[in-house]
Amino acid sequence: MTSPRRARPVLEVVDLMTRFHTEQGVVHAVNGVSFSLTEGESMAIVGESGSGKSVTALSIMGLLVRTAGAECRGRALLDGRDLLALRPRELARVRGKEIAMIFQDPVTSLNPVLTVGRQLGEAVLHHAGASRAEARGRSVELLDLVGIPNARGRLSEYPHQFSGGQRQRIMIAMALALGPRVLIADEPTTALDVTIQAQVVELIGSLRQRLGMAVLWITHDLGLVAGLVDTVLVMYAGRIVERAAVRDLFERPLHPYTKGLLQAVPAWNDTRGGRLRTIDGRPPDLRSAPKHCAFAPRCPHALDRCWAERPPLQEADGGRASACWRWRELEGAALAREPRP
Amino acid sequence: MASAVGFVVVTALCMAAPLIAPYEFDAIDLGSIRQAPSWDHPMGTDDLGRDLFTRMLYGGRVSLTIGLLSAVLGTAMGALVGAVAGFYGRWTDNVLMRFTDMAYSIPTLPLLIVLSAYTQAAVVAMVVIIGLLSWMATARVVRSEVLSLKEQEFVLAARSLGATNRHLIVRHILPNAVGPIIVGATLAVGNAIVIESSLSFLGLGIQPPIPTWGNMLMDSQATMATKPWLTVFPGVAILLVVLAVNFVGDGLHDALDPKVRKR
Repeated sequence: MTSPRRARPVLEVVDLMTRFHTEQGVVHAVNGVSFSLTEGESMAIVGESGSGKSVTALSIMGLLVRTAGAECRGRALLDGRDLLALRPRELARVRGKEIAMIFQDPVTSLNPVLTVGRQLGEAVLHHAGASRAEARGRSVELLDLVGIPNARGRLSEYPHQFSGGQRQRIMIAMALALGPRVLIADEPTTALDVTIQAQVVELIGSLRQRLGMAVLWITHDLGLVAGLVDTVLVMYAGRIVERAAVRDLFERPLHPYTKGLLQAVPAWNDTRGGRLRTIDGRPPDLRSAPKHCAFAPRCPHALDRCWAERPPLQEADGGRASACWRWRELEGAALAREPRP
Repeated sequence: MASAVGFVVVTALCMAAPLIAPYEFDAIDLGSIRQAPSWDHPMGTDDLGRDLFTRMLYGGRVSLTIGLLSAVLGTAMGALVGAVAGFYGRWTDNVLMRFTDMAYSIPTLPLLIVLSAYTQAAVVAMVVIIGLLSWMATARVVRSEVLSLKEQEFVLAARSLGATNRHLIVRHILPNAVGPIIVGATLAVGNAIVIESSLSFLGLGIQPPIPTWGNMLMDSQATMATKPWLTVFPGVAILLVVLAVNFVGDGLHDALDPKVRKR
């Protein structure tokens, strides 16, 4: 767990806000997210469904702008260049080459009517201006890299001839084709079998080290990536509520939401057969933008202040940050589980 | 399948007309006019003693050329308009689709008559005119396909890897819509042949002496009762070819649509 001292940020997100204008009103999906990813760093954004973690990733990639009703504000600086301000053509040039993304479902993420070789070679062909033969050679290399046996022979096969895990490997290979410096992995294993999940996660982890790129994991399964990330950002209702090195987070969460999340993970060695702890209540409706702490309605430790004023993300000790008024008390573990008012 | 074979055979025969035709298509033989089918003239001869079989072959060449080329033109236009409208959505979609509706609402035959009066009724002109009047159905079908295809995850994935819009449309979306496009194209072939025949029948298509199935039909109407072969052969040819093309279209639809399972 070396704290990243190479502190040169490769991706810097500043006050990112994403809203969707829908017929039912404005959905505040991301409300001022800031973080920075240093070169070669491995970071995870964790949160439950609807916390805005995927939307954050899509916003950074500029993949939302075109769809109807999406509005992104703020900045996403990749090497100082604001991705959100780029024109479509420039953005297309950056995507794939400098920042790439892999998606949840490998089954639908590959074009069913194009051969795998063609899809793999595409990026090389168009971005790097390679010849067909070069693109083919690179495709073979890439398939080898992600551990698909008999790569050369399988280039002419179609996606449906591969298993789910293999398809995700192909997606990874496609994302890595041009050696991007940042890879965003948006729940890359949700659609896979548990046994395959670990393999795919490890593959990405080992490729990160070999290729020296920064990886931003988007996940709701903290346990899956715990061993592979340096820093964790916890998101709730479109905001970062806690930032910490992964070990610190597990040992002493500084936000009640994180604490709840960790308690909700079933322990494998729990033999007492007790009930699984859950966080009461439901995630807030993002159509309203409350002035209070978004977690207050579900928080066992909420004070009057939490209802009056939203806590900002405050820097805490050890490079951590928490968006809770009572983080110091949490740090001292002085907060017992209080009865709900 | 049989339709496909039949269509290919007929097309091949017509395209090879100069090689297999027993006579010149405009060789007038006044000594043997209006003869019934015989060994010398397998389909008989017309008013000017021209061999009908020869004229059928040459006529088919013109009719099929017009049918195929205008179908290709119409389909290409339709696919382009539909893809652009569906992909970009919003006002692009609105403008293009209202334009399509407008093109649809123009009565075809009167327009064709007017247009062919201004053009020289050459093959090229016929192809362009028929093509320009038959892209709307394809445009609508392709648009609706694209509307659903563009929301597919693989489009997002390709975009995240730096694909431009043009690249997405040409390389990722259209290949997925190729089923309906091909089906539309085959149906358009039949349609174009019928339109060409109707125009020729009205005397507005390709002008004599160049034969087409349509103008052969027209030439024969005066003698329909007494010399039926002059009417029957071109009529049946049009019927069979159009029918075959439509069957091929149906067959392709079933073969290319994964939702229609073979029993």
